[in-house]
Amino acid sequence: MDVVGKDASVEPSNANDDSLNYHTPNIAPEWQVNGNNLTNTSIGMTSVCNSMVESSACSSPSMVDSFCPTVWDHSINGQSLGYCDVNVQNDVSTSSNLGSVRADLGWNPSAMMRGGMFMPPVSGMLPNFPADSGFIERAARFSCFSGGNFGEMMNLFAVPDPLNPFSQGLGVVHSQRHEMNMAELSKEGGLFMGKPGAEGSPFKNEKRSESLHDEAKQGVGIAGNDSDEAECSGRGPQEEVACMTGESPGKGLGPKKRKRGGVQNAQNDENNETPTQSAETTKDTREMKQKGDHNTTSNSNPGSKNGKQGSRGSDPPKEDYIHVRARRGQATNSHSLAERINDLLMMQVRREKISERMKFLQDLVPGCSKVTGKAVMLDEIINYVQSLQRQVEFLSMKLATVNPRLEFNVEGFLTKDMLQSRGGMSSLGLLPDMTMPFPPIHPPQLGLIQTCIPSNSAEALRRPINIQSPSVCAGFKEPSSQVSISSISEVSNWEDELHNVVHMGFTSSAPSSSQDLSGSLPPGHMKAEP
Amino acid sequence: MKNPNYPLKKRLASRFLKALEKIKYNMSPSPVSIEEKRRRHRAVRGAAYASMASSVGPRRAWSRALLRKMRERKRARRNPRNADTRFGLNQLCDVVPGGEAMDSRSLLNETAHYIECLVAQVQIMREILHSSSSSSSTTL
Repeated sequence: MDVVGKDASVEPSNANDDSLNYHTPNIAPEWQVNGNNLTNTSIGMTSVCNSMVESSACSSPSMVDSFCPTVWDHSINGQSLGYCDVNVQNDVSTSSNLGSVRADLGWNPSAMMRGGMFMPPVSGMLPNFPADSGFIERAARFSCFSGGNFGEMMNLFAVPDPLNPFSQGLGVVHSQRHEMNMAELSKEGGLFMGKPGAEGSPFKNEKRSESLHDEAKQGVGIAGNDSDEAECSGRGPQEEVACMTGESPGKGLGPKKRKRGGVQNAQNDENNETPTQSAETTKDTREMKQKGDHNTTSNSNPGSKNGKQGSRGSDPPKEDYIHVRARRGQATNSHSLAERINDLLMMQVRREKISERMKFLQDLVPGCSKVTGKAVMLDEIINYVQSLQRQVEFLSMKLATVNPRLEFNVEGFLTKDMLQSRGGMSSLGLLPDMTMPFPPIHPPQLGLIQTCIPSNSAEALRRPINIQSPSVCAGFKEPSSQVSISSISEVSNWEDELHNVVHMGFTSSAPSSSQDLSGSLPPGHMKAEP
Repeated sequence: MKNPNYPLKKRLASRFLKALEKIKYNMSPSPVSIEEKRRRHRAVRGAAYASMASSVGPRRAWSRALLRKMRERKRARRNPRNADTRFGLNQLCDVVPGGEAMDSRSLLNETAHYIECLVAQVQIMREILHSSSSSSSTTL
């Protein structure tokens, strides 16, 4: 098990580059999302597994003993932690690769600039990576383990659960946006699967996500990231309904068994141990599901499952048969019980996932670390988004009245923007706190801008600004702002100066006219300099 | 705060600046009427959200919803309405565009990304304001 785990652990680091290079940069936030989900779902799944071990008396005891406790404890305790260390160096290198490979503007300078700021997020994300591959393995194992409960699970997916708000919504969503979900699935699932996988092509990632989707679907629909799970469980009802229509409990085991083989096939992909089995399962599942590409894609599955499932390849089929035989006798009895159990487990898992999302959002929304409770957090998030939207409105209002003879030097503006985002962020962090209506927004905002001056001025004052101050004055005295913009683009240190000057100008003359502002700025600016 | 998303900001900045240029070219130098000002304000705000949605593209549910709204509004531009629909601001599912058709998990996902984009957009707009003119921005 450990050796197998190491295989999986090595792969994610290799796949990191590819997946990152290939996918859009916006995946970066989703990493954290995925990682957060995975860490907690992995932990949650141990409890899930254990509870299932206890409660599913229907399952064959041999399977229970051999499978869940040892496997899960092994994976979570041993591998992921040791994995973390292994990956630290790997991901550091991948982060540097990120800087080089990505052609994004200012990525390297920014990374170097905020070396301190950049590494912690990466290292913060690192512990999540091992959980990814470990989670995949656990998901695989979980799906194997819960072979006995497949029937109930699949019935569960098929049955429209009134208690479950997601299934209906998911059904609606997926009927409408199936292709979009595929795209998202490929993106996010590709990211998720790309780490343990070897290749980075999106198509392959999509396939992997498909295979993961297969597994997850059979394994209570627990996938790596939320959208993955959404789509997986969303597709679950669609396909399961198609599969389950008109099936007696006895027959339900048949497709389950065949699907089981499909999972095995997906896992045993590179081993080629069961080529015939794969052909069978492919055919069968193609009959069952209307999507044959699932299994063909699942055949070309990532290597993450490879090692683990390769070692376990022989065992699951036997246990699968055992389960089938056991299930036949007790199908009706275990239906309701396992259904209820699965309901509870899924609810629990979903709640955990949602709490993960909320925690992630908590990080996004400033000043929400002390707030606890979903309701309060939701209120805070809503307030924050509303305040951001109000800011957009306000700023658009201001922009609309700005002198239309502006010459927008896009490249220079962007450079300035990159370098100034440090200062800009500090001002931004303060502003969301205000929730004033639109018209009286001016004075409070000016007052709030004032508070961020100390941070900016501290930096500014240390710099050699004497050379620039004459041009600052010149820029402000001229009515047209073309000079200021072009000069800004030339001098990189300008932004903080300008920010300072502007802020100080705002504070010094809150309601005053523009000319007074420009007149008062240079002297104020010069006085501020040491 | 999270790591600043530079590629997103770059896209946002370029699109928004282009949209602004287009608006400015159509603008008369001296706005006189309140209605004109309101119209311009709406145009800039629409440009802000449009640049956000188009730079994110169809990858996100909220951006898709925004783009849908843009297209609908474009068709209905023949009849300009004074009361602009404020992109739904009641609850979170209203706040995030297109949130009604999402389950809570994706809704929270969308909210996170939406917040990120909003933050970037606000930063860009603020930078534009501060860099373009400190002289005329106070006049309304």
